[in-house]
Amino acid sequence: MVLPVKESAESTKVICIVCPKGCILEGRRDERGVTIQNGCPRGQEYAYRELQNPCRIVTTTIAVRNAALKRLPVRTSLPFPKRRIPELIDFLHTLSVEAPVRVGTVLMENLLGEPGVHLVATRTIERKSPSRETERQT
Amino acid sequence: MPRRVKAQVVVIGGGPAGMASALAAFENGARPVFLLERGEYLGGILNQCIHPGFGLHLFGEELTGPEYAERFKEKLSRTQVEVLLNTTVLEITPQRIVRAVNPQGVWEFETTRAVLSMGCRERTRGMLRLPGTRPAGIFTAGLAQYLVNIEGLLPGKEVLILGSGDIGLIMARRLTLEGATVKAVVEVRDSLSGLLRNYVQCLHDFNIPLWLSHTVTTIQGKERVEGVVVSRVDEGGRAIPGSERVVPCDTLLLSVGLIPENELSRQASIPLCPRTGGPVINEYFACEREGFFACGNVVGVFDLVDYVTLVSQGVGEAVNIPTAFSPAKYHLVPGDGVSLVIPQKIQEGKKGFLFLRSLQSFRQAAVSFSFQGKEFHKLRVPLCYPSEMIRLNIQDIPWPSQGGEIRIGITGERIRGIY
Ligand SMILES: Cc1cc2nc3c(=O)[nH]c(=O)nc-3n(C[C@H](O)[C@H](O)[C@H](O)COP(=O)(O)OP(=O)(O)OC[C@H]3O[C@@H](n4cnc5c(N)ncnc54)[C@H](O)[C@@H]3O)c2cc1C
Ligand code: SF4
Repeated sequence: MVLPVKESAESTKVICIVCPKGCILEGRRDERGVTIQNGCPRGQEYAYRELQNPCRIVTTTIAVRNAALKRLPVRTSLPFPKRRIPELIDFLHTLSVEAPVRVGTVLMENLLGEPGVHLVATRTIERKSPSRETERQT
Repeated sequence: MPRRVKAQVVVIGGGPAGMASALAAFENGARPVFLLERGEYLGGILNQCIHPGFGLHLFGEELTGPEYAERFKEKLSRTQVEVLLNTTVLEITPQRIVRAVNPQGVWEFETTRAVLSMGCRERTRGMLRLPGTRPAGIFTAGLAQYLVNIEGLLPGKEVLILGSGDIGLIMARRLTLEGATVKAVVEVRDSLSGLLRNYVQCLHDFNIPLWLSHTVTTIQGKERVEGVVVSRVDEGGRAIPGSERVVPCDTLLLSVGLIPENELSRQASIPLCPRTGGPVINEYFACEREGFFACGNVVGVFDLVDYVTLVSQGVGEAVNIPTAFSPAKYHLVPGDGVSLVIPQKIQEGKKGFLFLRSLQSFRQAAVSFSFQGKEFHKLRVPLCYPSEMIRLNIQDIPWPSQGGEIRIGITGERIRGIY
């Protein structure tokens, strides 16, 4: 499979994680573009993306106010560019939300300008109640 | 005076196993159903597993631990399952009296069916017999996960992780993202314990080294960890003299395994399996004591929560099946290459799942079933890893007509290294 080259890439090894086989694919650059060696079509597609712009789902926590819990777990709705993850984490450290929050709520759209990548709450957190309830959760 | 309550089903532990079994029992008509959880919230360990990787098998999408838990919390809130939070079970008698305590007082449940779903706990330093001083800065990986993800605290700045299981790998990434430096992950075996995908996304992505065939031999530091001595080990897992190197760090994370939590099961005189550390069960996940079921990590360590949910739903159905406690016909034992077989007993071989865990990583593997020394069934598995349980349908296996001991082994070409 020969793919067009977008940025200068030297021979790079990619461990494919699409299936448990874990093939090692090699991306090589020549005058025709990036050639991915070894692997099946699905793996080659993965390796191509890994060489172009690897992305990951990012999960972390942000501060939450007026809740019995201190941290709200969050995720990106779609994979986010790997090289910008440290920047994203630093940014998320500055955020805080007010309870109650429901799981699935979009807290912020287009994170750091990445189109379509939103910040989503992954847990429902109620507002802190003055007396702790033990009997039935609602 | 304790409050006395009669119940049809009491579920002990509100993690994914307890939630799924309580729900399924209720949906199958059991009344009343009580779900007792010592924590402030349902969800168990899932609440602190904020990474994605849950639910692919069950929901066809990749959820984080809290998202997975929320689906079941929501379902439960739409039923009349009586959920008691902040409620710790202190004792269970063999006659199924469940004694629990919560801020309202002491409770005594007299129940027809008791479901054990207390999960597991982590192996600690004492169990490893690590020499050296006893400074602060040594944590189990799960405790560190709780501190970071629930409390928002960073356990240390320079970290060494012992054990390459999934929890250790996931914590390597988590701590790195939060600003700590993870010096290395040290693994005593010659192959990765966790999933390849976790190696790639948690170590490789962040250039964290993985030292296979190495172990921690000494911990340095008086008040706080100042460094650890890491040595290479030989084939037998013994440290090689002269191979020591000192790794300066302020924190050591132990990710060296989980043990099913079975103090309560012991009190109830429920027979335990020395291999799994959990109750001996049959295909209904019924224990060898009338009226008791067990599901989830209390039975043996499941790495996939989807499988936990699946077997727990089965338990919820089985509470109404009168023959669930009938005598078993087959007794399954782990043979060569197998570390774990769940269930250990089978009545008829017509329903349920069989879970196997291999001792090592193999390519071109074969699972072999034998009876009285003769193989009666063989199954090819292209790849098998200790980090991924093999799940089989019990009814697909041609069980012998005569009952007795069945030995299950796994052979194949050993995979060493990372993959
Ligand atoms: C760090 C980590 C990472 C994981 N990552 C993944 C992953 O990526 N994907 C995946 O599919 N699976 C993963 N798993 C596995 C999965 O989370 C477990 O298999 C599953 O949570 C087990 O569920 P459980 O209900 O048996 O136990 P738990 O979740 O441990 O729940 C047990 C519950 O019982 C309660 N309890 C215990 N004793 C008592 C008592 N005496 N009285 C009252 N309550 C009691 C506890 O408080 C707890 O809430 C991971 C597990 C861990 C530990
Ligand atoms: S290249 Fe294909 S076969 Fe190899 S690991 Fe990737 S998906 Fe699996």
